[in-house]
Amino acid sequence: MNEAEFRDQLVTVLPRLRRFARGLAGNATQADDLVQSACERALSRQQQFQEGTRFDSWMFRIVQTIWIDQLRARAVRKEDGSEIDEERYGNDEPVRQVEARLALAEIRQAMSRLPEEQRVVLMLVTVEGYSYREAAEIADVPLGTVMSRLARARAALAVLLDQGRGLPGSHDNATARR
Amino acid sequence: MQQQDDRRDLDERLVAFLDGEADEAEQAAIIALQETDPAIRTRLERLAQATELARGAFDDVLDEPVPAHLLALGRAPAEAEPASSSAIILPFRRRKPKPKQPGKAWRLGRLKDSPLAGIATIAAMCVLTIGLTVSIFGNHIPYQPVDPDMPMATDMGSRQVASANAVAPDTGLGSAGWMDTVAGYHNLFISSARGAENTVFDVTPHTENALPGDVRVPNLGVWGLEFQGARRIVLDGKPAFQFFYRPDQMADRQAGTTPATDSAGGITHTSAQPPAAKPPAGNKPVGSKTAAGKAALPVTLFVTTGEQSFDRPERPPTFQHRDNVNLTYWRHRGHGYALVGQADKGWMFSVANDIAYQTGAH
Repeated sequence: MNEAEFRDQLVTVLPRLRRFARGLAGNATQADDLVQSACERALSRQQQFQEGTRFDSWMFRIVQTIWIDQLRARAVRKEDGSEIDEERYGNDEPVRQVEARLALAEIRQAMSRLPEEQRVVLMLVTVEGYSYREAAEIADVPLGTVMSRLARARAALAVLLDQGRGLPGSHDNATARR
Repeated sequence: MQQQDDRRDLDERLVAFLDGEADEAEQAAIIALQETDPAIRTRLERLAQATELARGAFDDVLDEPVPAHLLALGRAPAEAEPASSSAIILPFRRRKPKPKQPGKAWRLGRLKDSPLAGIATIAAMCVLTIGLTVSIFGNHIPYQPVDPDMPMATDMGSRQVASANAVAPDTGLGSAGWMDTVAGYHNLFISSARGAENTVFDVTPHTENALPGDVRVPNLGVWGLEFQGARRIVLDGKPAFQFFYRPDQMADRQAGTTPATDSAGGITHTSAQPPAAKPPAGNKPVGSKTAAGKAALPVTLFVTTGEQSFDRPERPPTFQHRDNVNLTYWRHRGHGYALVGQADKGWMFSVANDIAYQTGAH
């Protein structure tokens, strides 16, 4: 793969990298910073990409590695997720989208409350559609770990969603949790 | 504890089943389990619901235009040797050095004399959706409806939002978010052209064979537009090309000698309409100076590629107003097309029909 092909591949995978990063970081600015760091690292280590392997997997791995590194370095913690919500609710969207947006915000918030390592595999498998084996390679963990993290992540989501939905006045409850 | 482990183990099995990771024997086992045990069935349904909700939770990010600074990483650095790269640097026009004038006056003066002046003026009029702000002319340029014969464009826009969303799935471009995306890409191009010496294209007029075999570059010479190049982009998660057309050289020369006054704010710029750029007879007449001038504004054409399925219905050119641009989109032979620009509706429609004709003529 020459330089131009490499950059083409990079551009093609950008939207998915942004989606993945948004899932990890929560807010758009932090997510795009993460994508930028990953792209810069990829460009500086082009020669490390192995021909015949999947370029997107390689990029996702870089994104998640940098994200975990950043978490460790900055000890980023999101106890209440208020910062994220501000951004998610700050957009002026048409009224018809508000309902869908509330549901979306709820599920995103539920996802943001998951432990980092669960969120990574959830994003990789459920959102990005990677197989367990691919996700294990990207996240650099054993296959069995992917399975257990996925199961726990989804079980936790199911519980959080139940809390936010099934009860009367569920939206008020959801608001209170913020 | 044993019970907890069992539950976790069961969740793992159910989740793997939902993810298509279970082998045939395990699939059969899960199906049998949930048929015999209502609790397991409920659990499976709940996990499936959680999975579905999570799956689409961040899809709207795909509809967002990728920020310019990220896209820029995908382009070869300007100092790279063009010969070694598929991205060839194509200068818009060599700019004559101008004596430096102070402050805003210098910038205005320089832009006025630059062949990019028309583009710069549009840039100032754009409502930029991608976080770029263009303030070279301050904020005294009011938004003008692009078609004087139409009702206020803003009314038109809001009225058509509902229908746009209703028809969007037929375009093959997914949700209606793509319209904002193409408008954003168009505005980004216009704004990034401001004062830029070079624009890097993935495909230039000399490397058109780099395009996929079923994608052609329409010749818009009759409309006074010249193909500048194309960039690879991603629309709604699908590969696509954005073609750039700007007023051809004859238009520029004409414009250089007969500067026009832009109706939008009294700014003098160089988008006068040359005879060559007049729409052919038979189209809706463009009666006003504004409309005539707008006809020689840059346009971008979006073409989606790489679609495996051609079974989506064809769609004739349909008009939309979005983010201060006029947008005409259609579907033809497995490609989604969108023509974006700021010329008036009748002219945009005519160009779109011409492109549809040209792309169907082979």
